[in-house]
Amino acid sequence: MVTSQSNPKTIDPRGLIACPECDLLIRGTDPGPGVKTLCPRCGCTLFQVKKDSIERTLVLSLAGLILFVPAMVLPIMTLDAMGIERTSNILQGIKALFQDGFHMVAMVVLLTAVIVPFLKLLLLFYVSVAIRIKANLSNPALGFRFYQRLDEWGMLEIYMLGILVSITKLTDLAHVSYGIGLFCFVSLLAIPLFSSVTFDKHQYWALIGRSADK
Amino acid sequence: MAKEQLTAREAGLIQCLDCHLLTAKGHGIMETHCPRCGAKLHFRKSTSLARTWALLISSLILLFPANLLPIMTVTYLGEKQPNTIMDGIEHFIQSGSYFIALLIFFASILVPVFKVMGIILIMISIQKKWKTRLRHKTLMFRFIKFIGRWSMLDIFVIAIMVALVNLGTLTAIVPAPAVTYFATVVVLTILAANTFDTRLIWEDTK
Repeated sequence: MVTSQSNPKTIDPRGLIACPECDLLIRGTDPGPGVKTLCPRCGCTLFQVKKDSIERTLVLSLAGLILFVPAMVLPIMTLDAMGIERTSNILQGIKALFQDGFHMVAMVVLLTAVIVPFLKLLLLFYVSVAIRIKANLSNPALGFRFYQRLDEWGMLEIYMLGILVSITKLTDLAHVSYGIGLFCFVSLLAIPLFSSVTFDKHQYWALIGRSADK
Repeated sequence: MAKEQLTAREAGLIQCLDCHLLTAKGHGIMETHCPRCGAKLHFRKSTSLARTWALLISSLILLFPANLLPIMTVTYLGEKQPNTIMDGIEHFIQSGSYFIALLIFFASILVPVFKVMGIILIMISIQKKWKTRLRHKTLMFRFIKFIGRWSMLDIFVIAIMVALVNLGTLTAIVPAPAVTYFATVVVLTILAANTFDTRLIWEDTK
């Protein structure tokens, strides 16, 4: 913790961090991998150093990009009622909303369930390659900022819950079977889950900063 | 001990909210932008309270049509029936799916209302300068921000059902006007949580 006894004019930002939620100044220490540092005033998680964060995230985002297209295009489930079969995937749901005249809602679903999740994987992959393999890719800082801003707008996990709710709702009405798309979708869903375990944004920023200095 | 704590602002340092780098005010050429990531620098998010109020009041107004108007029209064996969010929950209770009913009730009714009310309460406490329970307020906000996105659940359920349950004129599910209002509420409340600056809770609290 930094005290007011130190003269404000001589404060050097190096070695200090500020809590993003309450602005308290704290002396940054390196606690070693796996240790969580909390803000002493408001309890916000300041950072948690993770092992091999960038390598693991790089591989996971690549896997996500491979799974993405089949998860979106292959049928997630099939409804069989009164001799009529209907299959559905994410894109068909959006198309149906659009055809019924609900353009804005269709756009929101398209953004949160397709475009943003895809962009997030792409940006994460791009930034990881840029700082790990040290290719001369331009502006990883902008890419990573964009990733962070998009983060909460990707809602695949909520969509998954939506699939589960729909299945429960429809089993009373008709026979529902699962398509191969559902398995791709579940695997795709596991990726942000794993990457949130290995993902360390502070390490990314530190490396982005270092490569910018060169 | 509390008296000795110093915030970044009091020390003349600006924290970048994108990459968390601390920069001394007046660091030179790129005065208004972060030297590491290029984001715009502010001591506090600009006009945070006004923007958050505008978004919250809009959401509060839209909550009414979102909950009172039908969110989808279910046609079953030729019989048309408009359904509000609450009707949908009743259906689940009647068919014995209590867990799903509870889930939808939380995601579609409790969370949006709790979210709007919660942020309004925090905003009033800031403007009235109530300097108590700061940690609780921060914790509450963190929870609100975390849980808010899950309200999208109902929208996704409708998007799935509309595509699947389309068996000609006899049996079909078609979205109804409330779906637009509800989606707007969810988007606006997420934006409201983003424009709000939690550091305002802790301002001048010594």
